[in-house]
Amino acid sequence: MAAVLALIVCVPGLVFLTLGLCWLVAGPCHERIVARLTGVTSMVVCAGAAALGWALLSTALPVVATPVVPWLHVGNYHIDLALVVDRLSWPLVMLTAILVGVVGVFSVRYVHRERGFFRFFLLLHLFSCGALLVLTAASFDVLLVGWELVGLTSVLLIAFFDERPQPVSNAVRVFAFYRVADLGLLVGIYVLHSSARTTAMATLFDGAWPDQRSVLAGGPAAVVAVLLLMAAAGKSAQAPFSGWLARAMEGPTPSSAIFYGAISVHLGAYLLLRARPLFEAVPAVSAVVVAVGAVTAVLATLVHRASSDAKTSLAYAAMAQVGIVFIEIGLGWPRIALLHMSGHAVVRTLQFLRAPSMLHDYHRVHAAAGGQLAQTGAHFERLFPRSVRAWLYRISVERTHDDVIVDRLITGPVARVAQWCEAFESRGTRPGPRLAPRPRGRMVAEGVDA
Amino acid sequence: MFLVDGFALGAVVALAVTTVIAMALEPRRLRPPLTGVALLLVFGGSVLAYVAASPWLFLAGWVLTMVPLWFEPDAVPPSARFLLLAGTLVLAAGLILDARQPDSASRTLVFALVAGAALVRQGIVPFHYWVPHALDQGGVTVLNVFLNSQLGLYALVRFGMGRLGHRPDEWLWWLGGLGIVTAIYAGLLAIVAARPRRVLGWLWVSEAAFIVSGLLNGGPEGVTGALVHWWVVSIAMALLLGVYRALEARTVAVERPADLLGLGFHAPRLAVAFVVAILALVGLPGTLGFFAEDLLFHDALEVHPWLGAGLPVAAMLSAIAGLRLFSTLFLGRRGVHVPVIVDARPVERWALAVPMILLMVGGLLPDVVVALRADTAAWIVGLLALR
Repeated sequence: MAAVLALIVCVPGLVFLTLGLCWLVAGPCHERIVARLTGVTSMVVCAGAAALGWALLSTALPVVATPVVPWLHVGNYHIDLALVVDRLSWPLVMLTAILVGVVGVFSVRYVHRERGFFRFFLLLHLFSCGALLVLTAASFDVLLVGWELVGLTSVLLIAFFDERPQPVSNAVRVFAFYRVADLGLLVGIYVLHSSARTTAMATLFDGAWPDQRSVLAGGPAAVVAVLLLMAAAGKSAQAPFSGWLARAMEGPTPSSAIFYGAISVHLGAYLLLRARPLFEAVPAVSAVVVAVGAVTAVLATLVHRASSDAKTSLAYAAMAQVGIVFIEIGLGWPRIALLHMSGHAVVRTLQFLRAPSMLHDYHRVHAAAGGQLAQTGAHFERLFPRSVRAWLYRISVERTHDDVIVDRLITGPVARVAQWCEAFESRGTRPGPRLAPRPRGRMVAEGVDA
Repeated sequence: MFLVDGFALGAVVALAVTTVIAMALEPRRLRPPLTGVALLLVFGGSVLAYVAASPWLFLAGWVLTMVPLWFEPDAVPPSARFLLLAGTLVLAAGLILDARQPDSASRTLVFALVAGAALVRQGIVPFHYWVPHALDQGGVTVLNVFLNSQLGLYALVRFGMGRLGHRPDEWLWWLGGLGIVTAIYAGLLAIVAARPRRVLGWLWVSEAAFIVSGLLNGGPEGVTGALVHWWVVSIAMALLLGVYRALEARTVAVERPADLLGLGFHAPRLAVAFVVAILALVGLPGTLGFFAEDLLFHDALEVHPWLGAGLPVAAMLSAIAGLRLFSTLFLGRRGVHVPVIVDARPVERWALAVPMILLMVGGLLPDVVVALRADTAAWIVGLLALR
């Protein structure tokens, strides 16, 4: 079974490398070849995931693990490459395998004849490899590799429609959010190396999920827990990193479905579930997890109800649900959180994939109900006075001022200082390099005569 | 007369790869007269310095690499040339003092002088000014090889580290910290710099500072990370500057970056090479840079528990600057006035593919690369342990 586990992670990665190499040598493959290859890859990964599930259910084994392979070794510092599937990761591995397959099949028609068709599938396979690596990582070092791959593919897919300026600038902004939040994971891993001399989950946490105990306690456990919470909040678009999710909706709808409806947005919650023994060791941090989830859930619900476009509304709805998952994790209900994540991922993927025809669907349901569709949530709204409702509406329409707060308090001052420094550094320079002037027309006609 | 050990061999290999990439991607039409001679002087001078057994031969090689910058009108602006000349004089003073069998206090002065010269050549704060300025105004190809020779680092290790006498730990601590500060400062300025050449210049300063910090922090992880990152920076920066030079050949002058939007559609191979080089340079997974920076972070946080956290921050800033530069050059809607450009030609494809493969295979098999640098790292750690 260890070979099957390695196979399901490696196959999407190998497909990515093969397609990339083919493209470098001979240009993009035909759409039909890419579609068939994606179908076969999905079937292989699904079959492998199902076999792993069978192995876990049919035997008393709590985990299926690959042998530990030394990946990097310098002095006392070492990173080992090992994969593991247990009762926490298997449902999510299976879910990822199925949903990537569904989105792949859907996308064959959705991005048909788009100029980025080949790029889309290339990045989908890389995302699949990264997500499966996160879910099956036996150490936080390996998890970081998959984590970054997921972030990178997410950003490149947000900039998919690069002929428009907005997706490109949004992709850069989302990347900045990711990088800031990922500092938590990077430094957290360093603290684990420094205090526990390992990042292997089997060594850090005794027992089988969900009844694990952390070998780390006190100050180091609290520091690691806070840093991991920062990384998780960034990946799952929780407060104070919520601003990026609406911007990520610039990507193609199938990628929004798999990233922000299903897998990527839940990886933060997965990280918390995986590191749960650390949070249990420090109840104060668990309380912070609950607070982060509660604040996000409330604010995201408000924005969801006031959003005027389908994808943004769905994004905030997803954010609210993940906030509730955070609350469940903070309260110490890991099984409920896992069930909630899995169900939410499936429902939200369906909603995202149907988003382009949502208005059509709504009209059909509206007509079927005889034009008597009740407005949901109105009974809660009536609890507030009119002035409060107006105030909440204004905040919701402005998406809780996330971007304004970040711009005014963080990026604005930093950028002003940096611009002043750059102006000082570049004083006295000419506006451009010295290049021999050449007639442009000839170059256009002939290409580069290099 | 000559000494070829693992350290020298590693430096020669990195420089050879850099030079081949730079030459293959240098457009003939834009090439100023005598570029070939200039490249030969920089490459030859650097190799002479690497394999020199005596400090005088090293100094000769160092000076030889600067000749093209002095006589080539497009290479480097006068202010940068004079700063580099001052650095050379400081190095010469250090080597002369070293030749007189100094006592402990004077040995520290030797270290200070060699370190000063190294800081100038590597563009460490407060001697950083010349790098973005030179790349902004000068000839990219000659500078590509000149910068990636990393001769300042080489001098620091070969002639500086063994001379630490008086209060060595403080020296290393402050200089390592200076490297971290430089990495952050340059990363920050790379984000706001408007012209692509300046962005590339700041990125080089930031990443060179990573290497300086790793070498001077002195732990086995940091030194190994620095040596691996030396290769990563050389290959990735050569690729970035080469691709940028190839773009310049296709789009006349790059005075306003907004003029370049949308080049990725017509030149996808150049775009992919550029993005892979950026990812490797800033240490994202799937590339060798990830493991190099991981080692550097680990050691920096060990030596400087608070300031060391600045190194991941610097990597974050560089990553944002790199992606921003990529999006500026390759994404967006192409303006009607921007010519339809051709993608990489067959020779250029090889020059793009080989470094990309090296960076990515290194990312899959980091232990192999680390093993290649292990002896040199142990030697440098031993040098520092003698203090």
